[in-house]
Amino acid sequence: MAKEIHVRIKRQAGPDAKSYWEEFKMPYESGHNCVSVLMYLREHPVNAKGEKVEPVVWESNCMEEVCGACAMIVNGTPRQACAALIDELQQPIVLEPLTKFPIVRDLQVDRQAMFDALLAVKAWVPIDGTQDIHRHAPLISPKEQDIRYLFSRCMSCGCCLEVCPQYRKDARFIGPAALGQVRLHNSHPTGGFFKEDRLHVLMEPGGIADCGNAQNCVKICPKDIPLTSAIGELGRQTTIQWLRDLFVK
Amino acid sequence: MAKQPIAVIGGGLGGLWATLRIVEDGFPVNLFSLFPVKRSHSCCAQGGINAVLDIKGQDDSVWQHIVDTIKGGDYLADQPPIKSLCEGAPGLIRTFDRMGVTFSRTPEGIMDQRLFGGVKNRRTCFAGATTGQQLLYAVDEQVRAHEAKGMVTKYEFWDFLSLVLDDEGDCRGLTAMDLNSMEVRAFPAGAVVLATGGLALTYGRSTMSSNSTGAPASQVYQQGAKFANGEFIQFHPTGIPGHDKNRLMSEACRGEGGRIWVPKKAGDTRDPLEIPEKERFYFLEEWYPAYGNTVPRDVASREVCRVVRHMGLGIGGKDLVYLDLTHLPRDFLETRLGGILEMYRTFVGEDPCERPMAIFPATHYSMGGLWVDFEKDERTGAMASVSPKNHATSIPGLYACGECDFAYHGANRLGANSLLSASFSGRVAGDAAVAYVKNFAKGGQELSESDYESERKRQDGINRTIIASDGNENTFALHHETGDLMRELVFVERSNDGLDRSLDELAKLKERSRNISLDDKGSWANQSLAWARQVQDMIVLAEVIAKCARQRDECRGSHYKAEFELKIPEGKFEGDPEYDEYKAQWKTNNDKWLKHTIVTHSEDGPQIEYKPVDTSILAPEKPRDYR
Amino acid sequence: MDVSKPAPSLLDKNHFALRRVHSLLGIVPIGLFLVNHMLANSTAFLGASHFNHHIGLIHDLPWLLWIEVLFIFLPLAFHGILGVVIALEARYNQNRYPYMDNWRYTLQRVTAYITIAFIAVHMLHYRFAHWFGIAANYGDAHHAAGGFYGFTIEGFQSGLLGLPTWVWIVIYAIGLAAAVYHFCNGIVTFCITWGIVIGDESRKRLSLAAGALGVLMLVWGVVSIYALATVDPETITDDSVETHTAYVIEAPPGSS
Repeated sequence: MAKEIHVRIKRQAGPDAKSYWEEFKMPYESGHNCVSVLMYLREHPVNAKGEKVEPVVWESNCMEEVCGACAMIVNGTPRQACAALIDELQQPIVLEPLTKFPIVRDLQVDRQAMFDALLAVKAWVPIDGTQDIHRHAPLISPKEQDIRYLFSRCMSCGCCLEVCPQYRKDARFIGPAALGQVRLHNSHPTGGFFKEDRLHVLMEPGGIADCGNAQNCVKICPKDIPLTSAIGELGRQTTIQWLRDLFVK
Repeated sequence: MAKQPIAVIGGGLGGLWATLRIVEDGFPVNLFSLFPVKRSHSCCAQGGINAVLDIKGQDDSVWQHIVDTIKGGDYLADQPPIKSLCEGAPGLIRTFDRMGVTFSRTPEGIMDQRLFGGVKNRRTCFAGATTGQQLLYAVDEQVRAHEAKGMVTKYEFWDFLSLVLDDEGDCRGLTAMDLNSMEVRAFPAGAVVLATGGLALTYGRSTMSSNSTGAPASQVYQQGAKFANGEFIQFHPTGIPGHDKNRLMSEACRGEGGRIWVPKKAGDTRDPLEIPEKERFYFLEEWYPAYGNTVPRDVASREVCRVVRHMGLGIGGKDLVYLDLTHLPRDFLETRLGGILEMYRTFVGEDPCERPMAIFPATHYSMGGLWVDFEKDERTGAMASVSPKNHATSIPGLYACGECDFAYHGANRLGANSLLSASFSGRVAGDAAVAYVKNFAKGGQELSESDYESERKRQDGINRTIIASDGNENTFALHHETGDLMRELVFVERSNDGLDRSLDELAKLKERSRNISLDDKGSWANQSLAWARQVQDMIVLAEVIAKCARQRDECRGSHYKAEFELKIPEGKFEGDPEYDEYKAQWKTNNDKWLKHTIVTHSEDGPQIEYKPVDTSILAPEKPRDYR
Repeated sequence: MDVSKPAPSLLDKNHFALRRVHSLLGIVPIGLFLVNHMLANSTAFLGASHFNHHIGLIHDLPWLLWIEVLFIFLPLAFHGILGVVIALEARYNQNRYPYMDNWRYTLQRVTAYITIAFIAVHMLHYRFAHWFGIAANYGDAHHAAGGFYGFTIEGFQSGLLGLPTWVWIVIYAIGLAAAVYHFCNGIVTFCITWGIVIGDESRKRLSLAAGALGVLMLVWGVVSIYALATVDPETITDDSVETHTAYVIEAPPGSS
């Protein structure tokens, strides 16, 4: 087993700075993952050449693969760094920031676009206030709820956008994550009240028609969310909406 | 005139609930968070959320929920808020349901409920295995709806630094730092709601997220807010120690037949699979023949610590014992514990069906926190539904909710009550903040520009000092040391000697935390600077926890000192003279110790006083007895 | 998605409709035309007379130019131009993420470019070659020796542009393969886009069916090309030309 952990990190001091590679070596211990390695390195910020450097900047929070913060490219694959175990990775371990978002610094990127997308598609259930109205939501079958649960675990990590050949920071495509949320909310008995609004947003430039059916999103999703099924369903919903707009209105 | 915004610090369940209530009352909110609010620690809660819906034909009642919560907390929580909490729970759940939370359903399509931690009735609503995440996302979405209307302005990647107080000590705003540009700004606010979560990072590694430092609570404590019951920290017996954090291994493993053991020989370095049965020490089974491995959480935690710390039998001399499932059939384990085992495989990379898991108690939840008030409704005996006193800290205009306050859980928290208290207290604190602003004579008036500017400058100065500091301490290493110290001396089992020692050590650490040198002195996304400030604040909190623990000479809930343990006489029950004597001792102890620890900050360290607990609903007549 | 943007352009306003029309045109009429075209060509197997008869039927359709323009050239131009715009949005990453579906995505766009180039060659070859004086006028094809059949095989075998027959075979085989792939994979993406298939399972089934269709069309088409390209022009009898005219019942005056 390796005596040390060898990491190559793509660094960048700021949004407009030039990127560069820096290598680090640290003593091997079993049980490390990519975030715990970064934690060690910020405590011992010395590169492989023995030079003292500024600690690497990255984002992480829950460390249990539910918050979505620590997504980065690990050995070529976008994933949650906290769940990337050193013992299961080939060394040197190569860490890069996600490429589809503006770089903040080093491995930290600005994923605001993902939250803007959720806002644009009205990814919420309309309620008349948080007061108790002494009623539950309408009935939902366990089967449908199980499917909805798959979608509602989307943690906005951005891996699906990273691998999508149609998504890039300067283009309009909204990306698979938000499409999954439209699927989720359209299928709720009251969430569906906004269905038409959401579909109309998806029928604008950058909406569902900009999906290229590469289907990478569904393969990379760390939560196995059936994103392509959502896209198929929304294809049908927008088809029907389009025909309604054409012939019913 | 435009209404002055109310500031909410923290975007977990508590903060987002508070935000919703405030904007529904027509006040704009400035919402501050270290990261996009969707990534808050609430998402880590797995189990569920308690509410009496009584849909399982078990005659469950709100009263029983109240009793369970009070007793679970060993009577150390004011009871009117608990009454309100339990009474409010069903309505809160209904609202969550309307928001579209993917609560698991019964075959007829209504919300399902399950059994959870030490409660006899099926009272826990759940959404798959990630209830906290699902609840958080629901309120996140609702807040986004208000964001779309321009009522909520999010300041994500902003770190709360301090309150802006006027000459009378009232809270009139705050300062915060943009974690990218490192710019410090002052924000006027009609009121401030602090919802910044737990403080378990004072223990270094814990089950908490890596941003749950407690620093904002520490900061307002240092500005005069009272802190309460700091000594009550819940430890989870079966944590999986990691280099980055300690992940939770569910209690269900013990429930389903998992066995806890250590090698009989100290320092045995053999592979666990090569250690024969007779050389294994199944200490829980030996010491508790009746319960075996299913002893309650606090007992399990203490005995694991005993076997490791007092007997030196930890695996390889480390803070570890085995939790063994390998004797159970794989099929059985996969059906009963599937998701949990998958988590272990993901993060440890080993198959728990093949190899014993290595576990150790982990810091999990802080029952203590900022002291908050409540207004009692004499008619109902509960907390008044809306009052500016509810969840008000000792600083006028500052409210606290969620894990960073001290209400509801007393000396120990009931499973699946944390999501409930976070949401409920957020709702109450939001209402209270609005009531405060509406009734406050200074309402809507900002302080003069210079008052905000002077606090901003002070905070900016702290940054400059830290960056300029050319000491020899590494802020990350200091945090490491603080955590190691807390896990050694202020842990599951405490002793006054150890606590005295911890206080000495913490004083040194505090000194050292001012003598640091950052490896990053830049002015863009400088995480070291933000961390250095948080570490200083964490050490202050650590001192509060240690001091509170030092002063409380009894065992209550999660706080345990062997020398003050009152043991129930074995085999004796109500009516036996031995038991009656025990009960009398218990009552005397309550007379002395059934009090909130109230801590005030001073230059000489934490000043401690005690305040009676409101036990007007269920007087402590009977000791807890789980036999 | 940016709401603060000024009034959208006409293209943006009809973004969805344009994309859906683009998707539809690929199947109807372009895909149908492709199938029909290959069907007609494959009659070459049956000999010159059948070939001439079938091609003659098409050739003699009334308003042929209008039909061609409305149902072939315009849809093809629309599909091709918007298709290139769409393909230019792609940021290919099949090397980094070599999933089969990702390859299919990339190939769909690569074959689009190839097909466009091939159609251009094909049109020049048979439709507009006379402009450059390198072949007879397609409009007069039925007057060529051996009728359409003779005209067609001549295109392969006369050393046009100095290219030997086998090069033409390769060009046509590549073009055919590209067009067939683009069409068959396009059936799948059409069905996803319009929401005809939704789940993974049904998508897999459809992909298999489309793949089978593709293989069939490819084999079929290659054999047609090979047949046309290798037949000995000397073996065509005048008979076959006669056969054609004999079948034309309502042939306009002077057409034979």
